[in-house]
Amino acid sequence: MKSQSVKFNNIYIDSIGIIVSKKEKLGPLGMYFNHYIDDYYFQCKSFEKAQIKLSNEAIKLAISHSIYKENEISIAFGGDLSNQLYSSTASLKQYDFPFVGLYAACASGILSIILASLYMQGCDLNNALAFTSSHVCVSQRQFRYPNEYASLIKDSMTSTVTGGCAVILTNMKKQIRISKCTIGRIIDVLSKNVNDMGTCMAFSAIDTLINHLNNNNESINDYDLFVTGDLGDIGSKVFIDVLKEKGYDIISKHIDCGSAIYDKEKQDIKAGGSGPACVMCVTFSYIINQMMKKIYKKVLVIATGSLHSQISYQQKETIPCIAHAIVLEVT
Amino acid sequence: MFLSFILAFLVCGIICALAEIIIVNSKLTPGHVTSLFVVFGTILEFFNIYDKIKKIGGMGAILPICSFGSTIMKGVKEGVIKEGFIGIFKGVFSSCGVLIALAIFLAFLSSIIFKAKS
Repeated sequence: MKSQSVKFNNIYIDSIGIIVSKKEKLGPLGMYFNHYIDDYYFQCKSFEKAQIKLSNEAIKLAISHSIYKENEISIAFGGDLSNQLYSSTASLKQYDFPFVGLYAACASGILSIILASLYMQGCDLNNALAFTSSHVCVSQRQFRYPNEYASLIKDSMTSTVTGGCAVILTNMKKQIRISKCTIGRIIDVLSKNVNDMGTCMAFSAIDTLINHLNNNNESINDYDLFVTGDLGDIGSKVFIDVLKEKGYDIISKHIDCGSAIYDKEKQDIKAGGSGPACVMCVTFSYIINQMMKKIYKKVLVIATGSLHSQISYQQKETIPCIAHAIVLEVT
Repeated sequence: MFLSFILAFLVCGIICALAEIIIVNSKLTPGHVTSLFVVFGTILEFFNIYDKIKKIGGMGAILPICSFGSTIMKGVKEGVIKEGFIGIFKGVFSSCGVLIALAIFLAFLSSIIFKAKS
């Protein structure tokens, strides 16, 4: 559908702020994360307060590296997994700029960037802030069981990445630009298995990828790399196999952030990482680093989200999923 | 005495293995399996089978959650003998009230002393 995809004329990445936890720092991409916390409480009284602090720190880091001062930020778009988006809202209490909270599950970060870019372009603004955060203990308590319950973790389950990521966008020319976006459609493959979200999200990623290429009259050869958010090992296999059946062979140019962020054997993680911070932290550290070195010049980042609620799966409803995509290009 | 240790481990191990088989091969959550096993214990006690399992396994049969179900059923049986129909409801917590109160109290103590980690 043509209305899904938009081209951006002047959206560039000004600065990035990322903070993760020790688990991500000890993973294979640890060298790309400069800031991390040693314990999940982050010197706060609860995990929820820790997530707010992570989000806040990421925003502070982004502003400190930015050409814009705190009072020059025009608008913020942000979202996360916490109920009523409280983590995102609370992390902005000290700031004066307007804020739009949004929810797309694990695709919240990339959707924030899309909406921030659209708003900048439509309202002719010179900057915008997009951010997200997630915390493993907060998500466990909200969606599954508190960690103290020690419930059995199945092989297909992913583990939420603990971290915050904030990106400041600008209309001044910089090294990396956001050239296009494609907003996803709701795809429901009638799965009720919350223990394997990667598989159902894979179909929404496939739908968004195909629509993105068709809407822009492009082919897979126009991109150096396809990055998916958090399909995990199992979801990635479904993604690659089904795409191949449809005639898109991208096995040699695919990275899944959920699979890349942890070392499954050494760190005792089952299917990989997930959460809104997963795709954001990996993309805006490792992928950007590779793009600055011109290893990849044009990358399609497809963030996936599974849009169930705690009640919907208890009521045995199916899990609708969505995938939002942005194109990162070296200028 | 050594034999009683082995039997305790065998009985408890079999119950736990059964639970693991159910969790791994079905979409039931841990909460479902806990409730299921309490009901198992209740049914086994109704047919006086769980007493025999307790004689064989000792602590190995008392430790798993099935014994909680069997305690409930024991209380119900005593209640029915003493007070008829109303005894079904009066008897439910007569034996296991202590267990529940103790569990709540210990959980409360743990939550004050300890802090959750990852």
